[in-house]
Amino acid sequence: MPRLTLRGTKDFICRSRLTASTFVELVVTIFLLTAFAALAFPVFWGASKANTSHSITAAAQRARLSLSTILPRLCEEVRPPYWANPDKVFQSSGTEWKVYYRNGKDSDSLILRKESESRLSLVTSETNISIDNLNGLAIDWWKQEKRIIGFRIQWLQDNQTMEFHAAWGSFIL
Amino acid sequence: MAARQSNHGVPRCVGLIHLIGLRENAFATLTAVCLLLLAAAFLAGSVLSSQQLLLERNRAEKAIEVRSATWKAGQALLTALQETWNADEQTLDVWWVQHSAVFPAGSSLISLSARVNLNTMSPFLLKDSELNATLLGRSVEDFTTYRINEGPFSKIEDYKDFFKPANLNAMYCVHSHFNVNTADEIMLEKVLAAHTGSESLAASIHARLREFRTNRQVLAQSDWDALIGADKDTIGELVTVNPELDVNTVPPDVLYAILRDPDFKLEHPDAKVQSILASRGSKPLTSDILRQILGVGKNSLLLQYLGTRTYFVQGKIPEAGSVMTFVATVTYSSDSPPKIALRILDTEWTSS
Repeated sequence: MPRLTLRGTKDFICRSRLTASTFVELVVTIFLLTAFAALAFPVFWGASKANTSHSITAAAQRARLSLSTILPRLCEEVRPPYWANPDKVFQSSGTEWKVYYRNGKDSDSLILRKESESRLSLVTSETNISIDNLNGLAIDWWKQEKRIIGFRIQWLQDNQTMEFHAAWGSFIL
Repeated sequence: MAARQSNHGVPRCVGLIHLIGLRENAFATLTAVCLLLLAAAFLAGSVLSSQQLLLERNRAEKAIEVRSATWKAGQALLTALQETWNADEQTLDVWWVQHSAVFPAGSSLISLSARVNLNTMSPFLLKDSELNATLLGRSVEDFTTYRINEGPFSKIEDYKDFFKPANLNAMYCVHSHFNVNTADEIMLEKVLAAHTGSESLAASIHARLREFRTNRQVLAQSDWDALIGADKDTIGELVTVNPELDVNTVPPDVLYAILRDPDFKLEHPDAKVQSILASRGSKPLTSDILRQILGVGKNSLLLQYLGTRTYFVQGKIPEAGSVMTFVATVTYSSDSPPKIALRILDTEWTSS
């Protein structure tokens, strides 16, 4: 009997150890899974949220950034000589604004095309870039004292009218 | 012994079970750790990529900000010139000496009316005057042919194969009005055709100008107005009777070259240059004083070359790693002192 008692006690202790060990494992696992969820959830939530409710604003901001970095560089290349004829340099229709200039000794043109109500295309002989998400897009010449000095782009963002101006590298006298 | 064995046996058995149990639990732990690492990597990737986007955006916005600041500095310079320059009392050079400290270090402002416009210069002036010595081993005919075939040019660098570099950058430019009395006829016609978009109108004006030149008659403003008639608005301010050069800012070399030109038949040209240089130091020369010094009449062709107003200025504003160069036109009201209006014609960013 004492042997049995002894054996039973040891067995109990062993089983208790096993249970404690399993309990610790369980706690660690739950903790790690919680930590995983805590890390993963915001990422997935953030990603999905960015793709849904915030996607419009983010896309509009990206469009603005693209416009503000690309268009001034293209416009800077537009260098009509100061003796040029404005009617020949600047031409526009309802959907296309075209400006001719000399690129070195060659002729080139920069075209701003309104592809749709929210899509703008910037076209030269070397580039063809489209910028989307410019809702309510409107293109016009930027004028000063009746002279055309660049492009004026307008669009809607968060119910506000945004406006961006880009001037040529040189102007006509 | 058995107890000893059994005593040893039971823990061994339980230890094995424990080990198996541990392995099963460890698998779950390992899985959780892997998922955690995966999530951390995903999170880190997202953070890094968003950081990259932010950095790119900041760089782009900063570049725009720098350009905008330089542009504003250029505008501030022109505004200061417009508001504080009394063109009757001080030359442009004197004004700049007095005001340059306000603008970014390394900024400059010069009069382009101090330089001869290579797009308009008469080949006779280049052939007969000391300006001929500035040619870079090329003939006047080479220069004229190149200009007729490929010009006019809007960059001075386009003439670099024809003039010595030091002279090209100090004595010449490509910005000025086209003076009807002094500009090369063929270039004048080319520019008129480009500006009005009508080659027939340009040819017609050229033909009528030819008559004046054949009779050695200098066109006054009224003659020019009558000659172009209804086309005045189309031609605008590009072609005028304003002298191309401003004696108040022209360097001595250019003054000597023009006044010594035998075509003008001027007596004691060197003394007259000295007199101009001495007189313009304190106050800008007026048209009347210039005429007195030169000893010529109001209709002298020399007064179509030399005037007392700067019509084109060139400014340079340094920014991080590059320089913004701009060219602006100047117009004067008839008030005394004249009100000045400035308009930028050309801007260029070059790396410094």
